[in-house]
Amino acid sequence: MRLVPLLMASLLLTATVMLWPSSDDGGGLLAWVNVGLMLLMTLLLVQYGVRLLRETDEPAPGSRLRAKLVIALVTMLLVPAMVIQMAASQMVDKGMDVWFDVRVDTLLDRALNLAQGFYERVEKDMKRDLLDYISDAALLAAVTGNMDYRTSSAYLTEMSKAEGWNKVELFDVNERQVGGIQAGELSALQASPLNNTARLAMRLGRVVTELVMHKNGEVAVGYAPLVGPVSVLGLLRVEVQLPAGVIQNARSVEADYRNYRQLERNRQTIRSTFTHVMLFVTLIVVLLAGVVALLFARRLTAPVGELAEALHRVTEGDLDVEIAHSPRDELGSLGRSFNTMANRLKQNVEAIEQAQLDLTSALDSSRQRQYVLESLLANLHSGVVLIDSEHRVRLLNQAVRDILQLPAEWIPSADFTQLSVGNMHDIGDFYDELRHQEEDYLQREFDIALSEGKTLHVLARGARLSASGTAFSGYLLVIDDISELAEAQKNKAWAEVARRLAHEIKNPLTPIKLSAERLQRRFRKQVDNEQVFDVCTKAIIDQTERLQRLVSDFSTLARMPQPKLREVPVNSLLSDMHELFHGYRRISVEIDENEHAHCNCDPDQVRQVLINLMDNAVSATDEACAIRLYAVVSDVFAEWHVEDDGDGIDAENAVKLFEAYYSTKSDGSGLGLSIAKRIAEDHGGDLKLLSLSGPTHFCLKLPRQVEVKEAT
Amino acid sequence: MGKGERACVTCQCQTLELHSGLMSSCFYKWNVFLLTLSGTILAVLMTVQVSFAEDVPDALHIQIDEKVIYCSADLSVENSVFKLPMQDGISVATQWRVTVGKVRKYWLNENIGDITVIRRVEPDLLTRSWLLIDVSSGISQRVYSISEAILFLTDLKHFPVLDRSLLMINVPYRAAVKVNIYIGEINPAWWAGLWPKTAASMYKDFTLP
Repeated sequence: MRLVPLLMASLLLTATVMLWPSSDDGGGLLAWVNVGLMLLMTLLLVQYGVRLLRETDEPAPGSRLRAKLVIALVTMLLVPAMVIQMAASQMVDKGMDVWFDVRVDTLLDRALNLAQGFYERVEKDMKRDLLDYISDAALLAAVTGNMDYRTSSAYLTEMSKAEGWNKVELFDVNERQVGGIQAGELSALQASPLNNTARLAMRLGRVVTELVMHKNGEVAVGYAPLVGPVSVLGLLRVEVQLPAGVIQNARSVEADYRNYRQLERNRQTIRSTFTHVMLFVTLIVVLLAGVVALLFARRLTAPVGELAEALHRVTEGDLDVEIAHSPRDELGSLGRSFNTMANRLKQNVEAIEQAQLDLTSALDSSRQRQYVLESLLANLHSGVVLIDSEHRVRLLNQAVRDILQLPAEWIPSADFTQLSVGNMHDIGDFYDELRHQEEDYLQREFDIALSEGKTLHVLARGARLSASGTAFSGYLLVIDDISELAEAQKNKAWAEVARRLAHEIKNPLTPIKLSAERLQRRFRKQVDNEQVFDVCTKAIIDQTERLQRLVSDFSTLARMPQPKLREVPVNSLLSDMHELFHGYRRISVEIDENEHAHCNCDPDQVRQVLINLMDNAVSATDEACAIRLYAVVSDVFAEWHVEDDGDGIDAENAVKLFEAYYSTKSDGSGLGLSIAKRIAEDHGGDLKLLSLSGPTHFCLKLPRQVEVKEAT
Repeated sequence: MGKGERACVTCQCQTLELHSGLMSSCFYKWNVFLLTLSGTILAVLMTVQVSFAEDVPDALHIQIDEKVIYCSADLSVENSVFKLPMQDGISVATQWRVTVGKVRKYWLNENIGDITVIRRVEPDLLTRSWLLIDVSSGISQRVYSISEAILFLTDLKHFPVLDRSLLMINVPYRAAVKVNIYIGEINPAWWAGLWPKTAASMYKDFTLP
């Protein structure tokens, strides 16, 4: 489609070349005008075709429709115009063939021959008649002056009548008229001089005729030299008036012949002129039709183009477009409908934009809330798990992972019921109980045994989220690690017991012991059986002392003093232990002399812990078992390790080893390790049982620089 | 470009509005350009076409006497050009336009004078004679030989052109003759002279001795 204008231009250019005027062409200026018009049209078509080819963007709205309308209208006019031109050319050709028929040609030739024959006949007759007078004696006498004028005039009159001449003149050799007669009235007072033809006749001595046009018609003039015995002596000039009717017909024949020949000569020119005139008319009509079609198409497509342009702008988002000029026809109605549509569209878009703004604002608010919630959940020490109605985990915070040490498969969208196995079984039971109970809230405390023998005491709270209040339905689990809290509560309880024991038991013990000793001293001699008496009083005293120690330990546990921190060389504590236990050969205290590290701690309390550990090791092992004490110092921690090669500790006992009032010794209070662990925790460290046996290995681990924990 | 401003689709010029009117400036400029271009091409072609009568140097002879500048020229065309129409009784004429100008190197020659001679032959088919007419002077002569008539048309002999006093010594001049041939009657209309058919063009450069 884009090549159509260029194709038309090439056709037009070909036609232009074919119709190019040649030097012998009869078109003249009109041919060049036609060539100019065709070149102009070619250029317009080439320009339009090139523009179409170079056009990459969407054309102007309505331009294609306008071009099609123009092409259609011009074609509608061009086709009949070309047909008419071809028909007219054929008619002209046929007509010219008829006009210039060979019969007409022959007829005109014959007519001209007839006319020429008449003239020839007149001249021949005149020449023949004049030949009779060339050597006429009377005429010679007249021109030589040997005859008087009257006689010569009479002779000339007689000749004129005999030959039918209208005028007879006689000239001597000096071209002087010596006589003459004329039929009718005298036309001139003076005789006309001899012309060149007459002089030629005299010079050559030959009879010559010519035709002369006079006012009253054509005249045949004859010149006859009068030849004497020796030379030409004079000239006879005669005139014959040619018959007017014959001459008129002959001249008409000549004129017709001339016109016919001229037309015949211009035959090609006439045909060419006709062709160029027709072509000129056709081109003018086509150009005018093109202009009119362009104006008409522009008028017709302007509203369409305006509408298309407006639609284009609407598609680009410009909703302020409005079609200003709406004619009172169907297109105008279309334009008004478009304006209404655009207005409504604009209103709708504005409403949508407002809604979008509101939604964006709400979304921002929601995101902000979500961010706050996520930050809250991330920083919350309580573990939070959100489970939907499909038992899928929808949300869980980092605290859950930290508290429960969740495996990797605990991710959002995982099935909660399938994950709650193994050490997470209790969580699953809690969830099941929450799901199956009628009430929406559930709270439980239970222990969870984690890996490495660690037991976690958790407080689990669950709530059912119903869909009536929110769009989400499911369950919310909040899990808190209350192990330390429980431990603190337990310690507090024991402290309270100790305080009461100290208050209620310790005070009577001293009088009891003193009384028993007094009884032993004063009434030993008075009793019958001293042995029994001694045993009983000793038992009272021993048990009272035992109770005092017990109460003392409880009191210590209840009133654990705040650690008095200071920089203490790690090795100094080992040296103290070495001095204290050097009596035991099986105890080896390993001191690294190159180690000069310090630890920020209360040396009395740490020493108490180490004594407790060493004491336990000594009492729990026999003489053959070795006991080792050594220290390990890192950048952050200082560790004191106590190992023994004894029988070790049962796993069952190991769980309760650090609980208060738990002891495997018959006379133990069960508070030593509890106090030791509290001291370690008060320093921000820990006391751990690293191995149950082979060797039994305890480790006191304290930070070298740490804030002191508030005493519980 | 702002709102509603687009490049012209016709010529991609940066007009502010689309061209809607037939005589809008862009449309007008473009079509004026096309018209000028086509007109120029046509004029060049016409010039080339019309100038088929190439200027022939030294085909013109200049005779100079004490008072008058004469020229002699011979129109070299085939006899049939005149003979055939004359035999058909069609009058034939030749128009000789003689111009004398001062030669200028960097500009058009300065015209000193020009003279036009029209010679016409009117055939008389009935008497088989040819009436030779010098249109400028009105002198006529009837001859009975067609070659004499053709010679009358094609030969300009010793034709007085210019008074010698109008020329200066040692100044280059150029005498030029353009000959137009008319077969048939000469159209007296004003526009007939707009499209002359030059049959020959001759010139001769000369200086006064």
